[in-house]
Amino acid sequence: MTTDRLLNIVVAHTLEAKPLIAMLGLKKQNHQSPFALYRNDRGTSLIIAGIGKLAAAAATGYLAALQDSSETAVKAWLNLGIAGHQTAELGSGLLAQKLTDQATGSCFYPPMLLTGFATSDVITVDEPELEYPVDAAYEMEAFGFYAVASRLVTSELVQVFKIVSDNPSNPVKDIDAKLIQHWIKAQRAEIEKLILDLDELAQEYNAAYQLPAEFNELSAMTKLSVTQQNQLKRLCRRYYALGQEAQLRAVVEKPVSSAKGLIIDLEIGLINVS
Amino acid sequence: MFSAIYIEEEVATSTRVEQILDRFPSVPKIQCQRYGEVFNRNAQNFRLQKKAPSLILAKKYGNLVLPAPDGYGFNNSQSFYFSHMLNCVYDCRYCFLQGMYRSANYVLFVNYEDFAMALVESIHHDSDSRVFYSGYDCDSLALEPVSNFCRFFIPLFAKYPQATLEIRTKSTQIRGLLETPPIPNCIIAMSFTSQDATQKWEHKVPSISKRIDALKKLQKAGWQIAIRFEPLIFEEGYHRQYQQLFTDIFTELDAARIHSVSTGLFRMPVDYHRKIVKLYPDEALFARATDTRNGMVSLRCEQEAAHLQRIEELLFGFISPQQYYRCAD
Repeated sequence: MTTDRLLNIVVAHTLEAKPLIAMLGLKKQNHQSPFALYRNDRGTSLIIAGIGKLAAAAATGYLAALQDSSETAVKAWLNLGIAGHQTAELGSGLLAQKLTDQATGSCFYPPMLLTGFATSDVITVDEPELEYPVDAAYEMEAFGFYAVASRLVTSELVQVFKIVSDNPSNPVKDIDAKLIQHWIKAQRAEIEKLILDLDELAQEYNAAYQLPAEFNELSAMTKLSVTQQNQLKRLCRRYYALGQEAQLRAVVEKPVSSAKGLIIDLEIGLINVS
Repeated sequence: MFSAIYIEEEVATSTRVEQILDRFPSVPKIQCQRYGEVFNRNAQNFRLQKKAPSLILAKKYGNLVLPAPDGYGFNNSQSFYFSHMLNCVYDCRYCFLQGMYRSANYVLFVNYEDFAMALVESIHHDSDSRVFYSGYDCDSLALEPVSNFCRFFIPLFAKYPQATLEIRTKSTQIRGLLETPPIPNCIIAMSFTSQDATQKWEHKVPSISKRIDALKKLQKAGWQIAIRFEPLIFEEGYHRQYQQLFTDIFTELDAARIHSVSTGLFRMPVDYHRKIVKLYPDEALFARATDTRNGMVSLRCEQEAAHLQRIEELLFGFISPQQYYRCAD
């Protein structure tokens, strides 16, 4: 993969992270951090949360806070890790279609925009599930991750992918740690497709909602109230939507007398445009 | 056709649901308690979801038949609407549904029998004739192969000739109707805008010629048909565009036998418009100057009344004024 990926990945364990680090060319960030953090220079970050939904929620929030001030493009979020399953074969990759917190019964339904993946309900448990009572994937992080990530970006950009590591014939106590990396590597094609699809959605989202550069330039030229900032945002977008980029650029090139004058000038410029 | 199918627990074992699910063996099936858990959630993006909508099979409780908004409809009879479905398979950029719902997923209420009871109760409420509109929150025909809406509701209305059913649509899914004996109190009302408007704003909608062809077949089969020209959005060349559209439609159909023809201007509740502007900040239609009156947004157009009059003059070259009505603002 060589193109930029607007993606944050949250995993629970180093064993889950290793194949992804290699796959995505991620490098460890050395600053002091409560979580191990990896990045590449193409927009992908990976954080190792530790076990459990609270750890997943904390790591998701931490990574978001790190990025909040410095990066303007919205990124997609992916929780990837191993899970037990009542019926699925070891090594199967499953996109979450419903997330349930076993402790509270609360549910999330990640929007199902990404097609072509095997899907499964996912139940987040507080202790490893030994009985696999329903036809679902059992794991310990997804609900905590989703609860936070879906507050940060629109929920279409938040997905959970689980790789089956145990089932009733191969119980959780018998998991061979070496096999975890093998299973994740074996899902490389599915993971790459998932990342590509998520990235495509994020790119589309950003293309639709990014502010024209002129907004920042004009904002820097005069002191705007919050209301005026909102008016300016809307006006800049209207100029672009109506194909008046050159006219907006011309406004940027001229000196600005006052915030109020700027808003009025921009409004007048659109009066006869439809 | 659907990226997933959500099924409310309460309807999971209904025959109608089972029949629908059988049609889509490879689509992921997801159980939910109430459709609102999926449909009404915060942090959803209608625009992204339109890329691959899911189907939600649910049960509707209460408010099954509602008074139609003022000015919606073709005569002075009491008017009502009912919505067995929320959202539309098409993606018309001017559509108010984008501002009404958080999700672009389709909700299909499968408790048709409850709708039937509510409709019959409303029909029996008094002796006056009543008109019932379907297609306010959805396109009633577009999902017919899945929903079997017409197959269920047309026989119901056949029993009550004093009530009229108008099915508002842009769909050409008319096979079921053509296989059913026509009833005089059911009107299939097809919506049109000009060719330019169709190309710019009506995504996934059948072409004008296909819609005309569907109407022609329905009229030939004995169904009552109606034409709805809305929303009228006046742009340069609109007169020539609508002249062509009217010629295309009324030379193919028996104009004298058309039940009714109406026009409607672009109007949208302020709240919906505000949400749509946020959803499509890059859409020229929503970047235009607007006027707000009585809580409704319209596109600013100094000559709107004159343009509308010109459209009506054009129309009266093809139909009689008695066949025509204007949707109120």
